Amino acid sequence: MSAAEPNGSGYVVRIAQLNELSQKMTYALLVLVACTVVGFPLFWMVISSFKSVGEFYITPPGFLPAEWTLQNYRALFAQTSFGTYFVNSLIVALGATFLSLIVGGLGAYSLSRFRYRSIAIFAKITLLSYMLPEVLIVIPLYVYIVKLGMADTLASLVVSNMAFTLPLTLWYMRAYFNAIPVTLEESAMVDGCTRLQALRRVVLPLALPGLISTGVFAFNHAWNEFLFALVFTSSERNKVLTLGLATWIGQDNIYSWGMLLAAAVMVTLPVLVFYLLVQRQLVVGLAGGSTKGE
Amino acid sequence: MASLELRNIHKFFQEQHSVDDVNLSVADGELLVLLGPSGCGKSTLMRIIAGLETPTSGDVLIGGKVTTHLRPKDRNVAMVFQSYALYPHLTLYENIAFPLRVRGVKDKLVAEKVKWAAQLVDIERLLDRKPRQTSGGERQRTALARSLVRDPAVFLLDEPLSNLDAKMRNSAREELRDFQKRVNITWVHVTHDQTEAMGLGDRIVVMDRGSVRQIGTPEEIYLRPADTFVATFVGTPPMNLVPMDSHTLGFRPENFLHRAFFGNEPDVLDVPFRLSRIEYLGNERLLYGVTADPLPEAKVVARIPSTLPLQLEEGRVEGFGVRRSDLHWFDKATSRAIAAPAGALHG
Amino acid sequence: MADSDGTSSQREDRVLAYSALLPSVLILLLLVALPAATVVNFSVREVQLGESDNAFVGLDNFAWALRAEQFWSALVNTLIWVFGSVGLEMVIGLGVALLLNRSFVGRGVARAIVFAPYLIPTVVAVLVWRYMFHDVVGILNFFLMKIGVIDAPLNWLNSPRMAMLSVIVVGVWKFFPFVVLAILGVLQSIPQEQYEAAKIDGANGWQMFWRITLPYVMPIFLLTALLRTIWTFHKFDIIYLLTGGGPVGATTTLPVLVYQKAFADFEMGRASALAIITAAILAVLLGVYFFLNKRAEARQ
Repeated sequence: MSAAEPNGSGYVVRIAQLNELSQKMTYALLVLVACTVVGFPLFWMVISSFKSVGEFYITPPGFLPAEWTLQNYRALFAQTSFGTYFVNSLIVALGATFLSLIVGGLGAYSLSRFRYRSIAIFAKITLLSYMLPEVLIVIPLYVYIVKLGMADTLASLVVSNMAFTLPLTLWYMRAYFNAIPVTLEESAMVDGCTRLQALRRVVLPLALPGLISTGVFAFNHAWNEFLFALVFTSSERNKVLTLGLATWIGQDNIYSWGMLLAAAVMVTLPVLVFYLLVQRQLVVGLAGGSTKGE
Repeated sequence: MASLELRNIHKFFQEQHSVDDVNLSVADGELLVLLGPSGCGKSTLMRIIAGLETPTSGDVLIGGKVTTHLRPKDRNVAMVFQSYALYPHLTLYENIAFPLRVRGVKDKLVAEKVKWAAQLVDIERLLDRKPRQTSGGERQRTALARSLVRDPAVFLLDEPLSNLDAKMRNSAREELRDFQKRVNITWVHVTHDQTEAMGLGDRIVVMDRGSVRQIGTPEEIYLRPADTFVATFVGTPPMNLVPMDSHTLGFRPENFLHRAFFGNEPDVLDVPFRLSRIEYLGNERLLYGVTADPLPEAKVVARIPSTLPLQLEEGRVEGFGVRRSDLHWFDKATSRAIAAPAGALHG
Repeated sequence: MADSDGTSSQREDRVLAYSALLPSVLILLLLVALPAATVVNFSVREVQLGESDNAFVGLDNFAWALRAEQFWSALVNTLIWVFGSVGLEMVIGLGVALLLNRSFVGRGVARAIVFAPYLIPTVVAVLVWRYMFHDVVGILNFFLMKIGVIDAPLNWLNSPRMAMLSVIVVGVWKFFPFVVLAILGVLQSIPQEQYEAAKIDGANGWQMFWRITLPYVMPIFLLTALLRTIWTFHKFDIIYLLTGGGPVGATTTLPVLVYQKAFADFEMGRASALAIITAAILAVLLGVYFFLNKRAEARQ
């Protein structure tokens, strides 16, 4: 690069820089548009939940609340059974998740460590269960639940949700167990453990991150589940959030939009909290440093 | 410390005879090496000793007691896995303490034993760390301490040096040997590295495809190999083999020298040698070539210390030779070693 | 590892293996296998709740389904719904994944925003969009009229023509992040050296996308499309909650029809037959996919 022609080379460089800049700006613009379009509905939901009742019916609708208020949230808990719905959803989701983790966790360990032929066949069959539509399963389940006298109970939801959370747990935890080296258990057995002891002392602590993420997925599924709740439960006492909210939507003349939106925000919160939790867990590496390759 | 005995061990797995009639006996305090290429069955044999697999037939005796069908925890053996298998969620202290805690040993005694074991392998100052915060060598020493802490009858090590780089291997070998002598444990060591085997073992068991080819001291294995497999597996470069009419002739590269070197020695066999390539390795030279008339043509290697003067031309047939006492003969059909056959070459 | 010799310590392993798996087997038998068998049974009977005797009617229920106008319109709606949603999801998902692949300031925030629709419960998504679609208080109509795209408020959910479009919009918004997630995973595993080598060879952006990015992404892209197709095909709640299947059956897909037959008309036998047909149609679609896949692989 000779100093004798500063203008010529400088011109070329500046064109290249402009090019790059305009590319970057287009890119940034695209990202901004995408985020705005995708994020707007949720943003709008949250913002609107803080508007007072009167604000909903003025045209043009204001963007930000003229006056931020918590009246919708208060009304939600004071005037409706929202609190009950929330507790019911918690019971169903926690129950299904907890049971799935225990049953599915044990089963996944077996699928991972023991390669008998019959077990391999079972593994393939569980995959099929994901191919069946829920509208298909709900029909006979409903008939059985009525026959057993379990209609309109939370127990029926806890059990039926396992139809989806259990295969999920089995598949995910099996992959997770596969990634934990068998030599760790073998070492524990040589060190003096029975297989069960090795499972408890060595494998379980290492499988914890996997159990947590699986638990979050299972919880999410059960929390958002609608069809089973719609068909199996009916009384206000036993409704879960999805069903309760759904019933209100059709009746938006009785329940104010403000309250509905406040309910929507409340229903979303646990899910977002869990998502943040899982984010951090997924960063923690598996079996760090147990083997020489680290 | 007790001894270890294997009687007629057979193992069939998916129609493969992965261990074929192995009989072995290890004396108290001996360091025995199982040597062989991958797939020869040495690791399977070790797992059978440990109890992680059961033999299809045969018996394992530890300290005179039949343990063939006992669970690993009931056998009082310790095993250091190839990957060390340290528990990643526990500190080094807890790793070493693990076998004791499983047996419900009281905290005070645990502390004593862990300290003792850690001292023996010199990792005392690292006890608070987790495995991922330590180096490969430190992890190996932790694995050793963990094995030591409960006073086992037999120590089993599965390729413990294979992950270390070449430079570290020598010093690690020395450390291991020192360690074994200090604690005077019966030690079975599996490896595919013949230098390691030769350097460490009191006796070596050479295995190939499930069966034992030879058991002996390093000298016996090297100087009196039982068959061509042992002869070529141990020693770098491997023994030169020249297939003759009814037998195979063998001689080691370091015994294969220029005729001039032997001077007037009587019993030296002439081995004409056509040189094709020389490799200068610093302390020695490797001469690659083929044997020439009257011997059948076969690829051979000679190993000459650099201190000896050398003036050779590539492509020309040189007069090389081997002392008759350094010759090995093998039966062509069975590949087993035989005495020098009648009518062996003269001149 | 456990092999199949029968000796004392191995026996212990066997017991543990089977007993650990037993609860899972029983529960899945109860919740999946048994219901599936029951549905097959129902489909060939006239099922009345509360009565113990369900008359056997052979293939009558299936015959009815294939002759019913409801069925065929539901089938058409389902195909429009599936191919419309999944098609848009895949294209938009790929585009957004490419956008998010490069690191820039605030990428974490952008990702969180993009994934949010997938995380929220369906009922919440429906609620928000109904709010936005609302003819009186909805922001969409207001916004579109403000910028002059339309003159009068659109009837998003109550006009037969608009309803399916609205449903697809909501479906795509809710589920496209799944596609982004799947494709982003692959994009991040493409070794940078491939692009660097291409740059040295003089390739431009478009060529690099076509020759490097696309081949890497294709397997996951197809697999994701397959999964999304299966799940979208069976989806019930989002449509039911948004439009109830209306107006006048305009958005009634096969799952919605099954539900209506079973729990509104209480014709469980016919509903079962419909459910089986639905599962069968999907199986056929999958069969076609696997067949084409095998042919493509064989050609390689």
